[in-house]
Amino acid sequence: MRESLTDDELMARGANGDMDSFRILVERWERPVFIFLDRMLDSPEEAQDLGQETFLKMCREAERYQPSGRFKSWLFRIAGNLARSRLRRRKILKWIRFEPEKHDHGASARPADRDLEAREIRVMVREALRRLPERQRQAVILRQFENLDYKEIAEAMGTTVSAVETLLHRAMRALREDLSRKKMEES
Amino acid sequence: MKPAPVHIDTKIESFLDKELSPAENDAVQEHCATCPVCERLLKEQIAVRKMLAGVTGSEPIRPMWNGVRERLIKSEPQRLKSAFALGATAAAVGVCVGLFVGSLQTHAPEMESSNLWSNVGSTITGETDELLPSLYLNTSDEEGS
Repeated sequence: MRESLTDDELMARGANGDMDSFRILVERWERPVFIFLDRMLDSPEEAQDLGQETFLKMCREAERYQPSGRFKSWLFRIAGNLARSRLRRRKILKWIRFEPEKHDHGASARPADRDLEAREIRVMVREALRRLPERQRQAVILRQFENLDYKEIAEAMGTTVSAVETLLHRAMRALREDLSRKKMEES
Repeated sequence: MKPAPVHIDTKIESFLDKELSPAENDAVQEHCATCPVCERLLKEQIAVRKMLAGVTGSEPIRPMWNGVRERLIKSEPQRLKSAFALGATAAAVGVCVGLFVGSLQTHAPEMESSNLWSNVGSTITGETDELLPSLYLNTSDEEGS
């Protein structure tokens, strides 16, 4: 019965103390949130940790949530803010420890694919994504993988639609140039 | 001299994302049909998108709800603690105010309750403190007569 309720309805029930509504929301959104965070951070462990943090915030902010049918961008805004603050912390830690950039961190941790070529392309794309500036990466992930439209991305990132347009244009150009350079290096 | 060709590379992303108006959409299509540079760019962007689509997402390591619930429950006692602390502070303030008021009463000049009332009465009426009993007396006199 509750499973058929909208996100906004579940949030309203959750805000009134219905824990089961929160459970349904977590189960409904944990996969997209995890995938988004994994793509942002390139670390499944950190994605799991921040995924829980995202949903914890969702529950705590439920009373203040304004039901406007934009739950998805609201949720991804929480996740995106957490991911970006984690990336900033990583940078600071790297700077303190004088650690060099790791380029094969996420890719090497993944299970082997049957198709070697396809795997190589995936690794290449992941690396190209990782090299993008944080906000460009966030915009690309929200657009290409989460299928958010420009208005939703703007809401999730706390910016304007035209800024999203610029971010995506720059990001896709950078990806295109990066990937074609890699391909040329290989051939 | 021939003018430099105007390319629409900034519009290609929005075109592929279906974020353009129908008129802009038609303009991009018409332009790409005649401009080899933008046509190549469009094809390359489509190829990049296909490569991105090949990057599949992984599953969460474990379901998240149990962890979220545990952390919610853990954070509840903290809320209770802070509510208790607030209550305790309010009680302490109440006790302090009570003690202060009590001390004022004990340090006040030793006067009988009747005097106290007569003072209040005189403050209100502007009469002296001898007046009030006399008024009562007068009233009783009138009753007697």
